[in-house]
Amino acid sequence: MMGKYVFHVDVNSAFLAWTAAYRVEVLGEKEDIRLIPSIVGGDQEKRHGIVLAKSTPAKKYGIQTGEPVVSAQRKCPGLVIVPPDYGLYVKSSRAFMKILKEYSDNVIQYSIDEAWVVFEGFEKLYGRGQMVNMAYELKDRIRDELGFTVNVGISQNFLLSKMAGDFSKPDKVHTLFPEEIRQKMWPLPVSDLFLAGRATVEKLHKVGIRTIGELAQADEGMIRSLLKKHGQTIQGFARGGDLEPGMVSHEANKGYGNSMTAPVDVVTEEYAKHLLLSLSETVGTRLRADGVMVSVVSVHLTTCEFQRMNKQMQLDSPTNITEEIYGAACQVFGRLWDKKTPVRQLGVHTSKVQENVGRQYSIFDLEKSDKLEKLDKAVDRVREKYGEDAIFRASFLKGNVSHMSGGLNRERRSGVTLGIDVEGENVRDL
Amino acid sequence: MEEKLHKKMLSDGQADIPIQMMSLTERDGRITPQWFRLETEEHEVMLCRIEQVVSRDEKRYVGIREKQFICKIRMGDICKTLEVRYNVETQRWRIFQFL
Repeated sequence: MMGKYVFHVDVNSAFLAWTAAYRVEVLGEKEDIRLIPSIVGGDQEKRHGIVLAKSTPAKKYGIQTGEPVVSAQRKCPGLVIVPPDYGLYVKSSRAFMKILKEYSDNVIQYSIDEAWVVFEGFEKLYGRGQMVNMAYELKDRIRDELGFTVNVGISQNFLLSKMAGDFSKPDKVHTLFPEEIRQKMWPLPVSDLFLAGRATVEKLHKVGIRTIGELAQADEGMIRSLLKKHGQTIQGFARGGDLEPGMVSHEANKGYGNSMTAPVDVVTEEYAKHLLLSLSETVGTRLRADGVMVSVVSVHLTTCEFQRMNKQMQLDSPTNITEEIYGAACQVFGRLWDKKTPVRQLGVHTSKVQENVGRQYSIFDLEKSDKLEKLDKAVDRVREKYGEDAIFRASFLKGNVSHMSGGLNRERRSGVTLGIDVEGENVRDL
Repeated sequence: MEEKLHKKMLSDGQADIPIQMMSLTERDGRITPQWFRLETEEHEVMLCRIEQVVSRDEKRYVGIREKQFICKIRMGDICKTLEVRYNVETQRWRIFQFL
């Protein structure tokens, strides 16, 4: 039994490549930012500056995706920084997915810039060599037609094809068939494994596991006691096991959270609470829009020295009322913060999402929560009709804090985070 | 006449100049540019007749659909080849570059 073929197609430094291709192929600029040290970076003025994507020459300076733009500039003084253009990214992604759909009807989009293309029933018609040729053809076609390069990983399951796609970049095709695991995947550091995060890797390093091969051959009982169920999962990956069906597609939101980098470091509790209220408002609005309630509220913060902390609390009853989320967030924050260290970033996250649950009345706040619920509903309706800024709490009248912080600011709400509807686009030839 | 055009852009062959275009659309939807007007740096309006469409193609770089025409225009005594593009979505014409 041969099994299916799976291609993992991933755009090489997507945001940067899309901006670069737009500048060269559409605006006709002569300089290609892919060939010089450059990054796509967030807004410097508002201190939101993190590196969203980097060019290959920028990578040589040790610049990493997600680090602050300021630190990237320190590593490479002549660094070119371009602002992101989310509308363009959505367009590029759509065109990319559309081409993939010409090859197979089974395309599973994993994010804005990567997808799996599944070929089932091809194994009797085509050999591996022919599939590899097809991958090259697909890669070259995307490069020539759309103006950016992709990596294609070929294997027989989702995980192995994704691992293969990451081997070396850019503009490459790699295979990782089950019998190649020992030779191609096992020598890699364990941090390269899918879903092996920082904390997991640290724990594995402590017990002397540094490569994927070492994890695959490690004692199952030890891994389970070290990493619980997640350990089993990633050890399965190391042995060539596939992703569980749920991991491949996006599920409904497991939690709702928003965070923001404060315009200036937070040093007073009053200011922190002001930001928390703003974030709670955004979270609450999203919860109510989706008709769900949450029963856990957590707060996370990043200090000015980039130290991260978080704490959570369980609510007495599920809620989606801004004021209740805010109240809980303040309590958690009070326990989390030492009232001294300046805080750079704050976030409010909620989890344990429940749908269609009735309100559990507490005997103490019977009337109050009813009133608040009505108030929130009315506010949501006003905002829906007249815009987000039509109504807000008076405490936001003064100062520089937006009454709904976190999440995507208006220019970024172009559908980057939404699923991209490839089918919805009319395919017509003019 | 030529010097009235965007000098710097002409010199290194680079241009991105929006233009007013008169084009002909056939019954089958095929578009042929006829003549265009553009604004010079001195804010003078200049008219150019397209003598010949040398080739046509459709591009969709980064998902942006554009019709590409390589055209010959006459400016005084000299013949110039240039690339004009029509953005299908925004329905705008522009000179992409002088060749």
